[in-house]
Amino acid sequence: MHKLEIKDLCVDIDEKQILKNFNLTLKEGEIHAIMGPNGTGKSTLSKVIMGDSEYTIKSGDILYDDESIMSLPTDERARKGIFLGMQMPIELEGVTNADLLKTALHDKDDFKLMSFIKELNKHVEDLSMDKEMIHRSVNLGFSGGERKKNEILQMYMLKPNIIILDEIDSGLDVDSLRIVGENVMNYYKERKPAILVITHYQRLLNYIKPDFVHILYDGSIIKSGDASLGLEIEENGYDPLKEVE
Amino acid sequence: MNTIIIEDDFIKNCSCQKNIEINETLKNELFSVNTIEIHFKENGKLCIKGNQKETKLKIIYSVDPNVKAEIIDMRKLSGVKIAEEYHLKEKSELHIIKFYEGFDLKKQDTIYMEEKGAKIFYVLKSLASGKQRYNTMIYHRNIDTSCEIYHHGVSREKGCISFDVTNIIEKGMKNTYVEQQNRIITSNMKLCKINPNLIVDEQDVIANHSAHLGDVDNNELFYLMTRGINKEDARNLLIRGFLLDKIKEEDISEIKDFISFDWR
Repeated sequence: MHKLEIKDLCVDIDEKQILKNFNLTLKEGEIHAIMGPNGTGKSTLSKVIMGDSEYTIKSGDILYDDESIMSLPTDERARKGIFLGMQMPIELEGVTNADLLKTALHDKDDFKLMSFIKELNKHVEDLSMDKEMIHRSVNLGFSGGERKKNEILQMYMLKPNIIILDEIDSGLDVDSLRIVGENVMNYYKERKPAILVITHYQRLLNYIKPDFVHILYDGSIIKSGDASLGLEIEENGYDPLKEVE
Repeated sequence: MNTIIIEDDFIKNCSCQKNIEINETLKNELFSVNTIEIHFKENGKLCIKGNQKETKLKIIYSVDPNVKAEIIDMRKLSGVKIAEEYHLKEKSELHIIKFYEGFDLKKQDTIYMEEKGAKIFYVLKSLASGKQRYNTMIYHRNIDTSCEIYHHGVSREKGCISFDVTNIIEKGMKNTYVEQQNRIITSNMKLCKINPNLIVDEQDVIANHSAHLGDVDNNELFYLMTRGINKEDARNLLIRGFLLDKIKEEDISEIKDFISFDWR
């Protein structure tokens, strides 16, 4: 069973502390949601797990299957099976989706071009995406919704076992939110990965139903609970929790 | 497709239909370099392929009124000096892609937007392993002219690239449009240089320019690496994307066949 553990993590950027003794364990088959107001360190957490060199890790550890991945570069973390669906997926001029995915997958022993094309087309259809997008530059000229669907498409093709989705619901209309949510859950049913959903809103959790909800405030988890905690946040906001803290 | 093969400073092979007229003047007592004249009399597309070493050459292009011309120019170059002139007549359109790979090169391009409504879309892609200097002057000599010009370079190993690009819009040349973009990807910024210039003496003009000198973007690298692509492959993918950007889908395979991409 795959497992990602974040232990006593303290992270700075530009000498400002963002994460403070952060702890979290994700096990295969579990869905966790992290909610919190703006600027509390949610996106920092996702990037630090992937090894973004912009951030300075002051102390703590990140373990994948009981082994530290702190010294591994981003690509090796990804090849272990950790996937980050980004809040603002970047535009890559001249690099097509097909190029990106072929490059990412071609070294795998079981890579076969025809199966790759067939599988890609299937997922494009499931996500109600335009087939032409495969041959267009990654995210260039894509709407907010198309970008997020593209992240999910990449997730499907790369087959990760630890999935981090950073505000995957931002920029999505009601229909796109449903399609993205349903596709994430279909993947979950097929492969039982660990999922960490980072969001501001309960609405995403209507589709991706979490086992655990954590409230992140000022760089630390201040409260954890089950799915009802998300509903509580929707009703009362974060202020009552800040007061408790 | 109409094709010219250039070997050093002469035409080795030419297969063109009558819509494009080709003349070659060899050097003599009066002219110290060979000159090739390429004249588009009707709509057409021309492919230029070349391998030039330690030589000089002049090429003069002209496009007749209301003619749409397309050129894809792919050359491997080393120790070469090239001067090119472009003459665009009324409502003519020239779409030109240049893809140069090689070592030392000095190139002077002079573009004359001579008559009303002339349009040019000019893309230069340079893959430099030596010292390459490009000087491009665009003279807007009539009203309603349009120039989109992109200089994109990648310096490899000890390669150094210099782009000097100047659009000159004189008084009275109303409704002129200029989009001028320059970018060099290099890991050694001291070796490369961009001088973008806009000399404008008319109010009724839209003119934009940008210049970017530096290595590939770290955020782009990070994104690709989060997909399991190692740093070297990610960098190559971004460079290949940069070199193939602005090139039509139909021309990409032609370019890939000609250029020995390490990252292909």
